[in-house]
Amino acid sequence: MPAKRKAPLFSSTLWSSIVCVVISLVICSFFMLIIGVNPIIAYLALFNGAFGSVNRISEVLVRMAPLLLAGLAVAIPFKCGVINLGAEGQLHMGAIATTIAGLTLISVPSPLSILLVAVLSFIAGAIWALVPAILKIKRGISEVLTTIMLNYPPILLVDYLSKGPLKEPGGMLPETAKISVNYWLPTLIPGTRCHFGLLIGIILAFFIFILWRTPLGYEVNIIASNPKAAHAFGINVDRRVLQTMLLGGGIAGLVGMNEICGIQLRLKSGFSLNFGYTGVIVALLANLDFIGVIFSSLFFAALDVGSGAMQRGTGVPIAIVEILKGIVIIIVLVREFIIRFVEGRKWT
Amino acid sequence: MDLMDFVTSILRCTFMLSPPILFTALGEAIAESSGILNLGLEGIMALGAICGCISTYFTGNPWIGMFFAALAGIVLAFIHAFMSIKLCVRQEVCGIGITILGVGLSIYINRIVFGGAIAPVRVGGFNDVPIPLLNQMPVIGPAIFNQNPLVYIGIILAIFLTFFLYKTSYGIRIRAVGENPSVADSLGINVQLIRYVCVLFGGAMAGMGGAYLSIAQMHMFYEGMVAGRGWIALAIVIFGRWNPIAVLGGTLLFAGIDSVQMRIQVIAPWFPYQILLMTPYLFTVVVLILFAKKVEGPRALAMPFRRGEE
Repeated sequence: MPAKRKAPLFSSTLWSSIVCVVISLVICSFFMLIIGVNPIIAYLALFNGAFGSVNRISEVLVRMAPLLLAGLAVAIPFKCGVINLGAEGQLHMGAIATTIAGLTLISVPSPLSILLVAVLSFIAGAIWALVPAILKIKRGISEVLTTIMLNYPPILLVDYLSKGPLKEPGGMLPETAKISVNYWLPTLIPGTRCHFGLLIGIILAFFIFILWRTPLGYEVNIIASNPKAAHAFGINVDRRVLQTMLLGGGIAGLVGMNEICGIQLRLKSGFSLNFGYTGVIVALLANLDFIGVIFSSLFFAALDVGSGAMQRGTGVPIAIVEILKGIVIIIVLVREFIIRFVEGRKWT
Repeated sequence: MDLMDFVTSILRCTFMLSPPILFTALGEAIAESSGILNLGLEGIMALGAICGCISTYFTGNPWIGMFFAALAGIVLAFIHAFMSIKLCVRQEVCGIGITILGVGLSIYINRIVFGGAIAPVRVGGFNDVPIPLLNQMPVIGPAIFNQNPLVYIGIILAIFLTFFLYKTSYGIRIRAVGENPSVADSLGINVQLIRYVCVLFGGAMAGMGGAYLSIAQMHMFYEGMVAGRGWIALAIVIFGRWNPIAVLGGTLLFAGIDSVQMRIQVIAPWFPYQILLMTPYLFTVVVLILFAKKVEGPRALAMPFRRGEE
């Protein structure tokens, strides 16, 4: 969040995030108590469901990759004060681009093919983010509503394509044929679904971290902390807004590629488990810190994966994770108060 | 089906579909007029939908359903109001949190009460209240004057709120708080109280808007049923320039397009229905492009107010 004082150090972001998570977990336990479940047992089941075996851990990593990318897709524009709620739509556009390439450009050899779909899905996502960005710059229209409204058409488009024009010829299911094997992402952990996409995500996070040491990052930080000063320094705010939105949209497009080339291998409705929206929470919990997004996405991936076991074991509906996400956002908003409270006490 | 019948049925469908967005948008118009932006409407509507469905199912009375939905809306809106007014947090982000919380709560409550993704219950709605004489008029008669009570309430509310906001001293105070809270404060107006009341009102309205969806329109609850209407309501508030009558007009325009889109699906089943389903959302974007500009609306919208600060 744009802060009027110096941005907090990484360490205070880390422990304040942990405090926010703990507070949120405590508040959530109330919802477990009202259905007669012991929260400690439920949370233990959750933890075990996420980390209890190599296979489960690999599933957490599978879930982490799209959340990591989505978190970056939201965090980058957010650094510039732009709220990108359109990651869900942008990632669907990336998935469409990936699938079309994977079904038609079948003679491109790997690994060139992977690079190709990465670029194509990035462009698809960026183009979809272009519309809200231009509307914001040229007309001052808030990106909140435009990005959300533009989430729905790509989701509907995927439904239409996978059931209509791109449907597998002669197939029984509402999905496309499998994309060419050249486009399949290699496995990271043998015997599991964990694939190369996670590595792409982590490398990208570090890449953005380094990118932020360039003029782009410097100027965006100034825009974030003091928009009026940014103008006075001659910073072209519109240009940075556009660049961060395109970057964010493109990375969201990569989420689509990640899922199609790494897990689904074909296009069908519902392949995205709300990655775009969860990306918002991932970014906020990490306080928009790019390296922090890695840990934040791991946390939410563990929640999503472990909740299944928790529901089977204790009967707590997995929807409690959604409640937790909402509470986390709200608690994170008082992060400043928490930091001031704890640090104030330290020095007295 | 001749042209007159076609127009009549589209018009009737339009008014029947209007309450969810109308109630929500009217409530938000008041809240934003006092300077608070509530992006949590989608979540409040979802929570209203499940609470309305449950309370109607167990009591058999849809009005009680509406009541509890309004209550649920007030509770969620209170969280937003407290964070925004007292703690002065960033209202956009808080609203997003409320939306996720509200949607999450609606799913959670649905699961613990009914067990499945689709609540396997049907709830009766409201009985139509035909208005004699007026409903004999050609075309608009059966379209407008033979609807369920909430449609009438919505229209009357829109008229009343316009009068309230622009012609009464309370309305003027609300708008003053939204335009320039420090000046309003110096005149002795209780900025915080007015904002709380307006946001809670908006929450109650959104809760009832969501309840209409489950009680009167779909007669059931299923996850994701709000389908973006909360966001569309926000856009319609902008379209109507925070004026309740214009908001009514915008809602009818939107509901009209939705009705036409649904009718086309029936008439031309060979046309990809997914494309037709896109129209409400694309229409909203067009509305924003045409009607949303820089420097619009209450000047202090979404800006936190701390007494003594400038």
